[in-house]
Amino acid sequence: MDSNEKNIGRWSDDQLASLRSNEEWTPDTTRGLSLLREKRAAAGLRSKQRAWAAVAVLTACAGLVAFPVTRAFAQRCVDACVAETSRVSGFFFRGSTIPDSPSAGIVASSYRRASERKMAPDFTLSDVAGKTVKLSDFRGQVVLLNFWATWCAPCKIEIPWFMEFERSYRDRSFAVLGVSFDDDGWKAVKPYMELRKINYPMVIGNDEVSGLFGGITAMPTTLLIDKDGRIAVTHVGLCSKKDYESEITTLLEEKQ
Amino acid sequence: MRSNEAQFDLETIFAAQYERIARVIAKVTRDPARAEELAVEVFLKWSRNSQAQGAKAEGWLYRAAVRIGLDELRRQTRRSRYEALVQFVRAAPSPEEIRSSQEEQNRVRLVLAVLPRRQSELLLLRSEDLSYEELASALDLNPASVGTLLSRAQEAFRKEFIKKYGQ
Repeated sequence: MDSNEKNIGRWSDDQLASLRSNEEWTPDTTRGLSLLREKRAAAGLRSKQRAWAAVAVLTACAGLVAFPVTRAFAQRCVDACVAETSRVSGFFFRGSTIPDSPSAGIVASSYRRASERKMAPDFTLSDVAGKTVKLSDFRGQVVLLNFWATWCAPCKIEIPWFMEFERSYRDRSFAVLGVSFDDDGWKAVKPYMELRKINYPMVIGNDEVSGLFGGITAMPTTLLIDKDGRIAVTHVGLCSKKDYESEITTLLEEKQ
Repeated sequence: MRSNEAQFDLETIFAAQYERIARVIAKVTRDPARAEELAVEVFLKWSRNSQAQGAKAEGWLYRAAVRIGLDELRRQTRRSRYEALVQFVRAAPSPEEIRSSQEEQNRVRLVLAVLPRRQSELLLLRSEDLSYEELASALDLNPASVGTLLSRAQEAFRKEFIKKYGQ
């Protein structure tokens, strides 16, 4: 340490030493202690209030799901929330919906009567094993045709539902077909299929297939195709599982 | 039972340290009544922080006191700046006032308020006669670097003081 540093040190020590608190003042420990007890009691009361509020909320939630009527109401609320947030989640998760596109509403869906349905355009693509998959080969079955991509977060919400539908309705002439629009193709899709153990056929889509369906402008886009190969339902965006289920069962009950 | 023990611990350390802690805060903030309130806050924070309890308690309390005091000082400084703007014309201090020790204390406080918080903490704790080891423990510093950091803080303090008030 050189003398200059020493001088600076001494000078700043002197300056700081001038900061004496009022010598005549003595902090009142008794008053401080009672203030401390008061504040602790207030903090304890606040945490008790918070605990009671949490208990009340939990009780209300339990009440909602405990009775069939309220449970149904709660389910509808959840479904509505899922539908409302699909556009927002799509926007945040790499824009899986295109807000200005006329076909991409909050959840654009349409259930068509048999007389109003148009034939689904046919396409032929290859599955992961290189085997040819043709849409028209599914004729006679209700087909859930899902256009998706691994980077689309709402799409990934739906995939476990589709796997469940495949398990539940497989024996009732129902099939799921996934069409991925990943730019990396199987490189991205195959590991995801293995990770999720996807139990239905999957193909990689291209611009030509997208064009056949009027251009897939938003993801997920899911079509329900009736047993005659006609498009019965189109869902754009994340839809509720309950809606899919009721549409599938209605279509399964239709006569060919 | 445990909470009673905890309360007993808190009140024991409160009785032993409250006066010193309140004085440390009053040194920085100048306002004894406010310093007493803030000292109570320091002990409440200490009681909620399990890591601060045990052997490190004293150092932690000092550091917390200095921090809370500096925060209050900065608030006061900001407020007085606004008040000065509102008042528009402020009476200049008389030569007697300038010479008075209170004015000198205010200068030191204003410089501490603008220095980096870490340096102000170091200078204030040093002025409480804490050893290098105690400083290192209170501020979580390497004991070997306390000397260097203190010299830098003193130099920064002097530079800022000269910048504001001249030699």
